[in-house]
Amino acid sequence: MSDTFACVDPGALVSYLYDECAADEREAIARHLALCVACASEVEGLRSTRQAIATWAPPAVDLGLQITRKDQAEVPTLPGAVLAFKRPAQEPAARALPWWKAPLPAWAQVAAAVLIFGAGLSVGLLRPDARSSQAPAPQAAVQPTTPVVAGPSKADLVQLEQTLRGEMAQLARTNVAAPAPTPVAARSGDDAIMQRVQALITQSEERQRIEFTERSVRQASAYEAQRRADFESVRATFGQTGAEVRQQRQAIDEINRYLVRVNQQR
Amino acid sequence: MGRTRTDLSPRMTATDEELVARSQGGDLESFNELIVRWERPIYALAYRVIGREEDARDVCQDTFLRAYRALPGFKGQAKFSSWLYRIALNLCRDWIRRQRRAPVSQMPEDIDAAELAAATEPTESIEDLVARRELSAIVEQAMAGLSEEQRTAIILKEYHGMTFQEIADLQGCPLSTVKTRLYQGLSQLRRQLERQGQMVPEVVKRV
Repeated sequence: MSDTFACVDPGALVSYLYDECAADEREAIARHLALCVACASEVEGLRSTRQAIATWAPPAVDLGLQITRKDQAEVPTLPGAVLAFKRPAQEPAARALPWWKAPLPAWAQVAAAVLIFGAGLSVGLLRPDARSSQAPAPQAAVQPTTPVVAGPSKADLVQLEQTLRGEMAQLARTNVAAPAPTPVAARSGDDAIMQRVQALITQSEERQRIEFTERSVRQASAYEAQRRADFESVRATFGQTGAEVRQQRQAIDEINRYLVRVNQQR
Repeated sequence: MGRTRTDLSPRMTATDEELVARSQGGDLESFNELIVRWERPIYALAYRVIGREEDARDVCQDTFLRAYRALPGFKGQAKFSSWLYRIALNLCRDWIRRQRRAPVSQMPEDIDAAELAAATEPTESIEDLVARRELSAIVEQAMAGLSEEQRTAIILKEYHGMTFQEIADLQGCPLSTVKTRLYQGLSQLRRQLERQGQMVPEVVKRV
């Protein structure tokens, strides 16, 4: 490549773009770009395109490919050697989750269960028809021998409170001694409550996720709309400026023609 | 297959060629070290060429299986990575012919808040991340609109940093053809991105 760089030579522009050309060729192209607006614009556009396509990333996957001998293979389907996916170190469900999706610690689950249980109990006690018909099921579970006719007495509630406090203390001790992820799972009496709590938590998470996603998409859409409006505005301004220049040029041409005519008449 | 730190270290520092030689001598772990080094680039290549996650996994798996089987015949006439890329590209081409269709661009499903939060760079806001993902999806779609040759040339250049000559060798075409494919492919992508409002045309930038 010499100083006589030909305009609009795609091969040369690409070489320059990727910096894969000899030093003298690079200098020649750079000199040309300093003078030729069209080629400079072309290179700049291609450069911007490269920046944009750099954002494209394949999805993150755990490949863990590994060749194993046939006798060691977990999936012995191919002769000679087998290529098998290694099992991921963690099951997908056990991956680290963000705080709002992570399971609550045992003490928090128990506290939530007690809260909901207490709220349900209070509502049940305050409703007049509940006193005459049926007692709350958990009450029956805690004190199956207590006859339930007109709702729980104060003594029942005190006993229930003590029972719950005892269970919580026991669970807390269990949790400290061996921090199992779900210490309450072994207690069959709490299973139903735990399931309800879990269901409520799941619903809440789902709602939050949907709301968050919608908000994100709305923001992205608003941003895009604003950007397009700005773009249109710039384009309109550009068009307007161009029209004004044309008008002024026509006016100057008119004046020139007039001056020429005046000179000729003299 | 148990691996310990002590038996991994020498392999981790070995060159590809050394690992190939050991693999040819029957050392399976050396070949597995080569897989560890190259599985992600090969998967990324396959995904970008054919556009389907599961099929890209299969192509990636097939690539290493074929390489392992063909290892006795590998004489080191090319770099191991180039040889691997060639196998992968041939498999991608077979896949495209089998499917008899252009690569499919897998549009991401609804934006998952958890994924978004996990993928956010420390200095990147959620809005930036959403914009980046949106652009990434648009680029993926635009790339799917290129011819197979143009797309492959751009992928090898942009995401795998190959030289024009390496791409020419892999694609089996003259160097000038590679440049033309890159130029035409990039120009088409540029027009597509400008139509999607993802890039301001240069004429407007100059105002």
